[in-house]
Amino acid sequence: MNITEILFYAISAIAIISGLLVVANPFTRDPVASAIALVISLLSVAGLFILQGAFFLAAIQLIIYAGAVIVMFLFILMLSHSSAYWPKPRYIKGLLTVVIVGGLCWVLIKRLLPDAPLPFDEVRLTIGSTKAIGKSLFTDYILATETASVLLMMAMVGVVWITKRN
Amino acid sequence: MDNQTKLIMIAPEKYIIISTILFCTGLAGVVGRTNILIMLMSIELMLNAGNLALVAFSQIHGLDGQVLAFFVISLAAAEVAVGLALVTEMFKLKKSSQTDDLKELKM
Repeated sequence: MNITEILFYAISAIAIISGLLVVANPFTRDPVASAIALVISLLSVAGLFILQGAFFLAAIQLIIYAGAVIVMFLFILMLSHSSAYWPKPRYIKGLLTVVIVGGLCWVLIKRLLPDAPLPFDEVRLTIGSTKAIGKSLFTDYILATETASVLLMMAMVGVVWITKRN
Repeated sequence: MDNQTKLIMIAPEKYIIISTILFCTGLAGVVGRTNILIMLMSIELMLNAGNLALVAFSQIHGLDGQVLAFFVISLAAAEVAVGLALVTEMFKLKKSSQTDDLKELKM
């Protein structure tokens, strides 16, 4: 077992455990704890991106998800925190959800993966560079890039309109 | 070069299993919780699991998966902005972030 495998299993365990803590925290029902667990899960997934050689995506993940998105979540949580109330957990519904979704997860893992190991290129690290992604974004995927920019613009205008109208 | 090739010796199937577990965790959060902020966070978790699967498949098929994951990240940013704006409006109207309080359309 080399260092990469140790890193992979450690980071995956952190990602899954903090992902579970986002959904169901046994200690508190405060959404702020969920937001902090979400940060840890997103950072772990960024670590998994680095292990796969996707350095650009890892950086984008850190900047956008762990930076912007979580800060927005924490803003909303802190601003709406004062009069928030948390009802009692409904254990029957929670148990039913865990059973159904756990069964779905089991079926997905069992049936979705092929029997033979997937072929993969071991020298992907040099290819997963920022330059190649940027070139691909502005040649093959130029329409999708423009659409994404229009989408972000519309989201910005929509957010301002939603929150500012009286 | 030897170090670089050794860095990514893990098979993509393992990443896909991790991605499936994370996706199902987020799905359980969307279905099982009633706090709308935690539901939004679970949606983020699901999108992130999808990104992990896309990057794992880009180990096999080339760089297209990473480009698609980039678009998913930008879409998630737009989605969370609009979602949180709607949550603030809901909080102004209902003084609550529980989905149980939204029952105007219930017969």
